[in-house]
Amino acid sequence: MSGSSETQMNCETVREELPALLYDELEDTVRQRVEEHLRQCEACRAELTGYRRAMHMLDEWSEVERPSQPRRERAIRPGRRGWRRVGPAVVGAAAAAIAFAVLSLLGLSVSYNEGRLLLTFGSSPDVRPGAPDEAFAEHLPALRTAVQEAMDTRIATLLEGLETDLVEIVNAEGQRQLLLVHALDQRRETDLRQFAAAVDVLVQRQEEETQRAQRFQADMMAWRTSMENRLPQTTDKQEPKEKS
Amino acid sequence: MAATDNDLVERICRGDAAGLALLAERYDGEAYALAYRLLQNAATAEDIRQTAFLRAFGRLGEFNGRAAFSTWLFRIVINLCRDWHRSQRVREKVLQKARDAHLQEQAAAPATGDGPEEAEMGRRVARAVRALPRQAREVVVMRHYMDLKFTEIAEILETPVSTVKSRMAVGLKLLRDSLEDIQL
Ligand SMILES: [Zn+2]
Repeated sequence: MSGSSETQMNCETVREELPALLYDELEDTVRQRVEEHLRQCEACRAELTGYRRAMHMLDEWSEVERPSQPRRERAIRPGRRGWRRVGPAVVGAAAAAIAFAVLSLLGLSVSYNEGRLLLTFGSSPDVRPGAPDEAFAEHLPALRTAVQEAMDTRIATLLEGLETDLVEIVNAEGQRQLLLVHALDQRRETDLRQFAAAVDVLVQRQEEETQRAQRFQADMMAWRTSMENRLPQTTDKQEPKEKS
Repeated sequence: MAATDNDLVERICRGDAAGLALLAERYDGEAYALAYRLLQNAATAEDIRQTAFLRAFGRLGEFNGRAAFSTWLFRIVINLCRDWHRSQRVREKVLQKARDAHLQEQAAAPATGDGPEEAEMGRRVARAVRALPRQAREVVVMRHYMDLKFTEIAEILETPVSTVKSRMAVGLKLLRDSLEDIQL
């Protein structure tokens, strides 16, 4: 009756717009047309009521559980000096202070000291921007080994062992075991994977830096060679030319 | 006057490391909440939060500033959640049962804090969200809990807006059905 035929919307089109209507994201003109259809169509009204009900029910789930250990809670915000602790004591095997720091081009540095992995934003005295960090490269194999060992012992025993048995546990056992699994899962250490990821990032940057340095060096060599070829007369007595 | 995200990204790219901490602080909570609502596991969400920031900052060079930094970061979080689901499907199935068992246990125990009915209702809704198909769950979480607009979600998911809206409709419909008996 009201509204010309070109503004009529069919049920299908209206229903596509219901979520946007509920979340108040429809342009006025579209909203008016949807509302007009709703006034006339009981089925679509019922659909909207159901959606709205679901939407309100979503509000009942308000809680966002925080990670269980308090140290993780702290890790959510960087400390005053910008230190951000990524992991707890990681390994005994690498206990001796393997310390390294690499500053990426971005100013993110990671250090590993006495079994603790630290991520820091901002400069620190250890950090030399730009140049490849030899100290880091030196420690890399040791780090890799440490990570690998730690992975092998802890993750392999705790997680992989767990995983292989999980299906059987569920099939064979009941509530108590499931609760145990849950407890284990909550307590599992996630830091090793973080550590590995951090090392990967560092390795990648280290490689990029090295490549850049190599390219620069190659360019310089090429430039020097070309200069030498172009200017054979400018000899240097310190460096005798080859004679044939 | 607070710097915009893009200001901070620019500062970081110029080597100003303080921008990095500011940017991380700005989105820490949201990145965590997004992962938590999608996976409903605190330890994993924490993993993903940390990995997402490492990945984001490690690849800041790839961030071209065409989209908002938050869009880009949330996309990384979503992708990590998907990867995690894919790689952990069997394990997740079992852990899910474990969590449900844990929740039932909790429900049986005397209430703490919230009124018992309230807490129970929240858990039921959480379970219903978890039971949604992945695509619908992603949209429901981002629209309802992260308060992102459908257009923003479309950008994060790199999907047409119409698709996002219809996934939302699917989600709401399924939620409506699975929570039919709850009295509001
Ligand atoms: Zn209709």
